[in-house]
Amino acid sequence: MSYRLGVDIGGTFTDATLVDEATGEVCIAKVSTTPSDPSVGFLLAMERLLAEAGVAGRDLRYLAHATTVATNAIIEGKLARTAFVTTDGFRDLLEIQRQVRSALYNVHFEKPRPLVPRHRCFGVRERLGPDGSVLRELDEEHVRDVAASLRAEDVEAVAVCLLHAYVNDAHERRVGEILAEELPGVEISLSSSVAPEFREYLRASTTVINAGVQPVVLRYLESIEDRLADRGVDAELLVMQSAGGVYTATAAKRRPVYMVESGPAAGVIAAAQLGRALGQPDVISFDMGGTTAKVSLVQDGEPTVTKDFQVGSAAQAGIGGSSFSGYPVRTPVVDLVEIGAGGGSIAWIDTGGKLRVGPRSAGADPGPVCYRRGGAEPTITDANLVLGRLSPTNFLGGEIELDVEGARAAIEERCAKPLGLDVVEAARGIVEIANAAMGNALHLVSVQRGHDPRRFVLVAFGGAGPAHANALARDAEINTVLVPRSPGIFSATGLLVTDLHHEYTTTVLAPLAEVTRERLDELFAPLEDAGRRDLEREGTAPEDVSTVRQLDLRYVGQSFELTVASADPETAADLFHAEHDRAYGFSAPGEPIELVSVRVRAVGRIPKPVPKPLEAGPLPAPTGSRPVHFTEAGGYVETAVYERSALPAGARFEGPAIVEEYDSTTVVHPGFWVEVDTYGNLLLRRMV
Amino acid sequence: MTTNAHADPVTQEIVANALASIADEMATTIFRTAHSTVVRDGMDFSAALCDARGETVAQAVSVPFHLGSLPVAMEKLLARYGDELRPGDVYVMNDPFDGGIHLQDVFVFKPVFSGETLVGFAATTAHHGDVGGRLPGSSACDNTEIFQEGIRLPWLRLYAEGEPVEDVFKIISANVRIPRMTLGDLGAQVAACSVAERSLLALVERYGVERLQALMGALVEHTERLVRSEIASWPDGSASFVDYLDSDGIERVDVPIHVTVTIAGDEVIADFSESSPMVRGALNSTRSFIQAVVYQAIRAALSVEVPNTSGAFRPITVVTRPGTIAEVVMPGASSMRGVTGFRAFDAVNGALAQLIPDRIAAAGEGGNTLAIFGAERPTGERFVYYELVTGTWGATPEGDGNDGLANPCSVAANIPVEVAESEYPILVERYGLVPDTGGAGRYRGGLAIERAWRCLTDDTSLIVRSDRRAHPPYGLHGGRPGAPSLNVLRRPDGSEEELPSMFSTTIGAGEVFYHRIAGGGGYGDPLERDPAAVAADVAQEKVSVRAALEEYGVVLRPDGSVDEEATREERNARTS
Repeated sequence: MSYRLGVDIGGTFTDATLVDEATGEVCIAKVSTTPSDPSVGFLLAMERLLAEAGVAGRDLRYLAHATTVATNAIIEGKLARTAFVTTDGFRDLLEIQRQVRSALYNVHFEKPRPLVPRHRCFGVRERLGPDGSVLRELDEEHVRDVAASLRAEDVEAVAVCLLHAYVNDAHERRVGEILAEELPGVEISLSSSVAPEFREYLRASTTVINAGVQPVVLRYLESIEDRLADRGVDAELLVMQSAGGVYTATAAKRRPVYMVESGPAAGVIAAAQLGRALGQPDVISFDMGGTTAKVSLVQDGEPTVTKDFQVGSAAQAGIGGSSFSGYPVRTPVVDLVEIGAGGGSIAWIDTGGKLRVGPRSAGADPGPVCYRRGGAEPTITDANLVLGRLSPTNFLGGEIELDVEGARAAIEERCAKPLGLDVVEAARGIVEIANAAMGNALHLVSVQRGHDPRRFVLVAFGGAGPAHANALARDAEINTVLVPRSPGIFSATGLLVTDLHHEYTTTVLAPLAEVTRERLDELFAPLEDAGRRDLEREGTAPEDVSTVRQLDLRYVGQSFELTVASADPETAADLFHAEHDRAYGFSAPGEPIELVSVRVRAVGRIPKPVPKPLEAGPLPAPTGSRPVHFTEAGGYVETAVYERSALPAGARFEGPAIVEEYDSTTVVHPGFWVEVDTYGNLLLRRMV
Repeated sequence: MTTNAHADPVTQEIVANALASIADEMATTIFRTAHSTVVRDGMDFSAALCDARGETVAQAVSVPFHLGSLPVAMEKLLARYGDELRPGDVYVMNDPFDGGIHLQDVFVFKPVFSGETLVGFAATTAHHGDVGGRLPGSSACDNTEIFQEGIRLPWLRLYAEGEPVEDVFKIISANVRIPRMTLGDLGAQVAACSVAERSLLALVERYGVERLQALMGALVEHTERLVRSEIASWPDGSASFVDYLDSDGIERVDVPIHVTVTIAGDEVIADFSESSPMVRGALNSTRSFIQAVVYQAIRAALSVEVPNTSGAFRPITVVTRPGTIAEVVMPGASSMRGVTGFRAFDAVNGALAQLIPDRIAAAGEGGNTLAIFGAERPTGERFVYYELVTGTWGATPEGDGNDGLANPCSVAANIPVEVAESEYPILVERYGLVPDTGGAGRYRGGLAIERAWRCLTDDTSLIVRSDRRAHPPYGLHGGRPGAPSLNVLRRPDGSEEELPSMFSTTIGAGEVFYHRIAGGGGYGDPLERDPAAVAADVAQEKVSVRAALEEYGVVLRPDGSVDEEATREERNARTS
């Protein structure tokens, strides 16, 4: 007997999924997240599943985890006591940042508080030039003096980021050695090791986050590992990284900055894998939960990855303005657009008399008005309820009975009356505004980046995703929506279908035309060696290791790079022109190209479980029907309601229809029909 | 037609979001594909969408000064080409006497057509690192007429029905120092317009031209309503304020910027008639730029969030007199009028602070400092390194000024040291905050920023535009002014020379130029500052122990904690 377990800890719920490797049988559990010690929720979810499936801890062969522990530490200001060491004359890098603000006209804007207070920032005497040459030798005595100050400050972690250390790491390594000698037990992060890329603030910020979350992540992972050991689990704990692959807990403890977007990445990975499994490698993943919606594009089975991520950015109601409000992280992160539109997002009227939705959310507490927990402001969930899309009696399996009248009254009072609309028009408006905002997000990840959304499949999940996906697809002219089983915990399944990943990079900054293939080989070789070494040390068999070579390129004079996968300068140039044209709508084939950095992704293949097929059968009778509002049908129409668990493979029916299950409701619009596939996924297709 | 659209608040909100999203796409395109450090790292550019009448209906997060200048630029374009606009046309302009705001800010507009029907305009503005003229970087405080400041482009076709107008490209290339940089940035602007065109046409497909026009019109009206309703909530009244520039661009002399602001019902009038006559140097502003300044000051004072449309400007009237620093006439030089704009912003706020005191912050650093280095590289190739030292904020009615944040009128970013040193023969020796430079107050002004550059090439042209040496940023309601700015040249032999606020000169290899921007003003009585906040500033080394006592009357124990008893006595002694 061998089993795989995935545990995804989110802000509200901890989701777990268990798969029997032999049969593909799946069990799921959902428990409340335990913020004071998330490992408690982890254990609870795991034990519930093990008990239900009658599985012993030692039968777990694979254990992967997505967690917000690193992100929360940053957002809630619970980093370790961290110090920052940089080149003399530049101690204020973290204070000054890039000096830009996200709110153009807000004179009350407060820029992100530096993650390290100024008195724990130090300059050490040394200086490198942009070519890595030593302009001033490292003053080792000065480093020891700084170490003495750090000791007096009782720091738990130190981030070291010296100017131009991305070209020459000698000074940083030496500073690291001295600090390690002088400060035993203190975690030290070097920028040349964590994120060896140019632009000092971006590199410093990444390194500081790595250092600051390291003791927090270390304690957290050790606490989970101890509890696992107590229960006889000897499988190595794996952690989801922001770009999608997993890494071992041991590696995560060294480079925790790679897991800041662990949870969102798991969802995209799950969507990518599902698409690949169904022969649909081009999908757009749409994950809508209680407070936000996340949209991301997957092409050829691979999620798109960005390095322009800011952790701790506030959610926005619409697109735009979200950059520069958090802390930059220059590690690869799944490229997703996240907006403040979730089931709990609040609808309100601005002083100019316009209806707005989000970004404020009623969250889980008090939650939407209809939850009867004291919420007074109408939310998207309340609007869905008024429109008949949600069942008042079959929500979360009937655990709570939703208050339709309360929702209706709140929308009436706060939205409809001030606008002179009736309550249904207002509820419809709330849903349509949210849909349009999500549609903009979808546009941004597809059209704006040169992809035609019409050739993609929309994979909808999260508690609220399946209720809105059909409308999104209709508006974007997407023909197929895929709703996986248990959409509410779908992200957790992404944990079970990924590979081990490690990223390695070196900044080069040279004209591409002057770089030979041989030179590239020389640059790639040590990175690939490091990848193989690290993966094999973690237990991957040599035949399961593969490496991907990538180049970061730009036109000479530009400041932003595009990444192409190639190890040959000429091919790379062609790919770059094409990619530039796709991304920005133009290219300049005559212009010289600069090679900014080379990167290697080392992948350790992990076998994937085979999903269990669902038994085929005829379409059962609907469990009931109720009036549901569809704008395209001109108002409320009596709509059939199906229970998802009763639908066999091969079942087909037409919209309008509602499909209910424990943690989600799928809304099927008129003009679409549904097919249940072999594995129980719902496929919503446009009727021709 | 507009009434109709107004009756549908849902569609209106959906379209507003879609337009804002398109403007953001444009900005991203410029940001990622531009070639000059001033655009791609300094972020001195803007992107907007206008409807077919030329009303601005959306703007991305970019320079506020640019948004307010769009209406005049658009008006001039329509006056000249209104009847001849063709699908595929792209227009370019930088002439301050034809709707521009100074020669460096190049406007690139593209009319968007659905078939033969004009739907609107994609509009971009970017600050170009060099447009030719007397000195590298083109802008110089001591330019005395526009003909020294670079190539002047009245509204021209850059593309005609999709085809590049080669003659225009040739003229531009022949008149700028680094054609690849200039054309690269122009290319980024054109690309952004094409991105906008594609997305705007998708909206047309969904809503139809007529309905979209109505919705865009309704959005502008909605904005106007928001602004009017807030201004109406302000008390009626009138107040004057005068602030000063340190120099006329050539020598040290007080140049007054005088404004009288009147709040009357739901409208605001700002009158600059009493400001200085035009000055000799390049500090003269276009009227449109001063309008943009006032728009920004009023917008910033609003408590509500307002869409970025030209509707926000309608309740605001700006009065200027031709031939003054607030309304340049031929052949006045204007390349460095940015500082005049920043000071006009401070003046408007100084007046507003008397009328709506709980909405207005103390003065910030006084605007970005420009330091432009230009020379030949060892390879013989020319370079222009356009450095922006961006600001720090005055204290607000609610809290301390941000330490190191671009002026509210700008969103310029700093240029990373590693980018500067990789691309230009320059070495940044120092970059940081300066303790004890934020104006004391119940809330402290932001600290000054210092930056020093070691020049690595001989015969290097250095142009500097700074200010606030003679007239430091004011505090409000008992808050102290921020520390004045400082410019110093350090020679290889160690000798130092203080330099004026504005100058152009030639320096050599090994010489170091040091600049310290002014600190932000404080808000409220420093003796009312929470002693714990003072202690925290001291712990952070932002305020010295001495200043804690002298400025704030806070007595600290040797361990840094507040001696409550002694502090009370100290403060009582001062107030009695």
